[in-house]
Amino acid sequence: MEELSKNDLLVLQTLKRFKKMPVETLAKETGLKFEAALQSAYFLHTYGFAQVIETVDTIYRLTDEGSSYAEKGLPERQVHDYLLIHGPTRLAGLKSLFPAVSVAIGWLKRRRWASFAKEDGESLLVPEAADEAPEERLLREVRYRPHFRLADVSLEPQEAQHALQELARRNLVRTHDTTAREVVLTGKGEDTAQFGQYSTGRDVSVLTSDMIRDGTWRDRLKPYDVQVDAAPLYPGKGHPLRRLIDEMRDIFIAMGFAEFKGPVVENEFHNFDVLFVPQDHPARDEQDTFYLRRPAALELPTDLVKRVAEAHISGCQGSIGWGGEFDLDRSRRTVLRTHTTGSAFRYLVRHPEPPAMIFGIDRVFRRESMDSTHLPQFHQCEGTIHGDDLSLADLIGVLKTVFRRLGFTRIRFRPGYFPFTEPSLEGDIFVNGRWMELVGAGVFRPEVTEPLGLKSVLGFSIGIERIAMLKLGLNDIRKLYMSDIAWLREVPSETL
Amino acid sequence: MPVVTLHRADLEQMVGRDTNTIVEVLPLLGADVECVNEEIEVEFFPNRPDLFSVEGAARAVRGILEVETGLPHYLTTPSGITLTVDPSVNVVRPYVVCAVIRGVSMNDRTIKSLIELQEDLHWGIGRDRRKASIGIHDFSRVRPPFRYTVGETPFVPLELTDLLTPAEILRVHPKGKEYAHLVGSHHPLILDSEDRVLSFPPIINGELTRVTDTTTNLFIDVTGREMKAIQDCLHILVTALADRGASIETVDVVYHDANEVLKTPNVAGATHVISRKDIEQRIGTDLDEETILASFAKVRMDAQAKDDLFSVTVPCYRTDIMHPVDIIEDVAIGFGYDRIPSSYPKLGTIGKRLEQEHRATLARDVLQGLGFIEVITLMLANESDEAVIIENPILEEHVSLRTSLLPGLIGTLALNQHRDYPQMVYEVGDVTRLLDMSNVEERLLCSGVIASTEANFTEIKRVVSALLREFTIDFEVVESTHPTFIEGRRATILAKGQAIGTFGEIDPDILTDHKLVFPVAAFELNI
Repeated sequence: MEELSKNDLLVLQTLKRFKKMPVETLAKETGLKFEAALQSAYFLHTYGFAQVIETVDTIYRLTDEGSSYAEKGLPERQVHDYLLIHGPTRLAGLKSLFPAVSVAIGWLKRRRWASFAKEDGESLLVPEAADEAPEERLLREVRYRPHFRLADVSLEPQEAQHALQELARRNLVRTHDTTAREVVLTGKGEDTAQFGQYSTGRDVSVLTSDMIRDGTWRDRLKPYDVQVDAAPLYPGKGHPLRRLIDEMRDIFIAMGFAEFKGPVVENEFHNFDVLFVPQDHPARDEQDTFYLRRPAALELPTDLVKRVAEAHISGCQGSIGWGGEFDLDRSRRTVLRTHTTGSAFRYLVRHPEPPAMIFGIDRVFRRESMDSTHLPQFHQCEGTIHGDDLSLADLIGVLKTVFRRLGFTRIRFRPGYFPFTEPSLEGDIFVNGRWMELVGAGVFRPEVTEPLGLKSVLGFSIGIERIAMLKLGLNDIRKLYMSDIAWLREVPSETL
Repeated sequence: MPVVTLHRADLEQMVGRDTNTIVEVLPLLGADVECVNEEIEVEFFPNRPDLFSVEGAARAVRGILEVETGLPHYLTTPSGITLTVDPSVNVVRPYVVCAVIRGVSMNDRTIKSLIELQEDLHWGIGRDRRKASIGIHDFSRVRPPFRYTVGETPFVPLELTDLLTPAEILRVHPKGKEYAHLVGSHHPLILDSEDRVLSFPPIINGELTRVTDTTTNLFIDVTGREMKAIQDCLHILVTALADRGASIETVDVVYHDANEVLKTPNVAGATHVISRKDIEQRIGTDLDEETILASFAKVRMDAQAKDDLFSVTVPCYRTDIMHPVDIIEDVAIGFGYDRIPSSYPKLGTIGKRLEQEHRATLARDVLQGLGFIEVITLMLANESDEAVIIENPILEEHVSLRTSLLPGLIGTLALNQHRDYPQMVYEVGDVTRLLDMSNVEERLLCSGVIASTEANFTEIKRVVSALLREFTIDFEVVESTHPTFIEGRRATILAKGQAIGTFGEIDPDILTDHKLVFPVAAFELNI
């Protein structure tokens, strides 16, 4: 049990005698200062010992200008009176008589107390009927009062309100609100007044270890407003692109694929020649590929080069080849890899015995200017399958499985073209009302597999950023690599 | 890839079907329809230059729609005209093939589409005129026999009015300047019997033989450095013109030094033999003889079947056929990709994640647990020491590959100054380092930065310690000289005596360069 303070107890006991009283009276009866009495009254109110009833009292007071008009009439009335006596008068003549003539004319028009006519090209003011306006009546009734309330006026309350608003707008009346507080004793207050003891109930907001130990939290812990906002908190988390890469990695591992990785700095031999891309192919132009100043060349695997060069020049196993020449210096030249397909074949050359199902998700480079759909560097998901007698049907089966696991159900396959696969295909998914290309794939040409001593090889590469943009609803690919921390904090991990 | 403009009315008339039907089947030929208006823009694959004209596209579409199937037959008659090749061209552009076309009817549109096809072939087969370039002439303006030789005979080139020598053309004509590198000081010319210049290949034709709407007979030359490429161009051109109703006549090309006469064009297609087993095996489904024959017919090939072997005649314009697998793809296209059933390779392999990825994932888990947000930045950077340098960069800030992840992370902070602090971001990613002029090391790094009013050496040391504890790496710390950090507030991490990373407070001069105003503590670690 808590005890009431001396002041609070005094107020409560006084209140017990009077049952209800204004705070001013309470202060007088207790001998407390008004503020102290008010504070106690509210304390008692909070704990239910008393009730403080607030009544707002609005008092109006005429301004000096208002008082003057109450005496002499509003400017428009003064001008109207003049017109009644002197008949229609030119505006110019009025100006010298009435200092507030422009205000008066405005109101005369608005109240239709006067009309305009022309006389010798000058405006003439002609008086019309002018009954007493509500504002005038109000001014008349209160003209000897220093202040007044709404109830002191004989106008209908609504009409009076309106008239007061007009007068206030004309700066003729000022309002002053005062709050009257009456304190009323409650039954609980009646009981407590006897001994001055009460229970605060729950008054502690911070749970301390002392309170846990002594159990006082049970009585004292204050309930919270559960709807109050809490400041946002953001977890450490992975990048959305990384989450997609991880999801795809899981899919491929579950399908029996082993992960591979190859170098981003390649020579043309591994990036192009091995894949039977002719040395004069447009993709090998300086326009489309990043070539390197240093290292400018990387050494070639001798025996492999011989076999690959032969396939280029004169074909192999029934192929006619590209003809022309095969330039070894060209093969040594270094590039930033334009795809991960070359990296897959590096793996297969090291592990030439079938079967193999491998995948790699890694960076590739194209010499492109940056815009909302292009970057000079992006990620490719490469899948490669090596076995005996693999077919286009096998490739379609694998790709359907991958796409379904990624959540795409409407899929189509159509012919494609890559210099290193035959047959080739492209896979589209149907999203947002249109077909979107997602994968390029094919059965590798014998001119690729034969020189490397491989059986049949299937391959596909999937653009990762496209899927990420689709799933994240992005329309600017740059957002993935130029990170806006606010976006990373906000974007729900669940979207990817 | 080449975007070819096909005139809609022309295409409808040549295919004999309406545009909707045509547009629907174009993707089945591997074409991407970009825009359908009066002109249809279609992107074809670069290996099918025979489709780069309305005639060629219509011919293929007729097959797929079964309006007309099987090998298109083209007839040639001898023109009796000769072109003699002088050995002087051997050093610059040794090969030429020719044809005479009679009975063309030219208007503005057909001239435009002929020029477009010519340009597409210059690009697609000619590799920007190096391997092959084409001259198309009004045959009535010149008098055979023709000569192909190196010379300096002056003539009025297309687009100009002055008589110029080939050397002058290389200096003043826009095409001359563009392609001068292909001829050097030897200037190949095609001249008629009165020494008038038809063409200065691969630079420009003479104004004399300009094709106009009154032209009815054409003389075509294709020159180049490889016989296959120039024949391919010629075959695609003459078959397209023949599809418009013109007739093809052969020219005797006489190679003096080889003592050889070549009759061009030879429009008979090549024949390949291919087994049913090979077809079924590569496509992956059982196909009966009838189905295979129907598929061949749809892709405009003729085939005879005998004992599960198909003898297939491929049209001369199909320049992409190098190997039986190319023909098998056509069977698949004729059959329809959508009809190929899906199977799954039964290989019994076991899935496995890279060891390196295990470590990367561990680092990510720890850092995310500590409240860091992952970013991914470009590998392209602007570094010089020990960096791999790009020969043909596009942007000044992308001239090399990164050797460290820290610049990317500080760049990220610089982009995010208006975002709430503290900011804690990390990246796990590959960097490269030039070991010597022919060896590059690629390795995985893990870096993190903390930007806040309280970011300091101790805080980042706690992060590094936590990370290495999770990796069970014992380490010690010595003072570092790394220029990215403040002197006296930077450290090198040693494990078994090897430096595996650094950490510290970023040099305020670097922060100022990026307009950063809060302290930044950072680490970088080999993992």
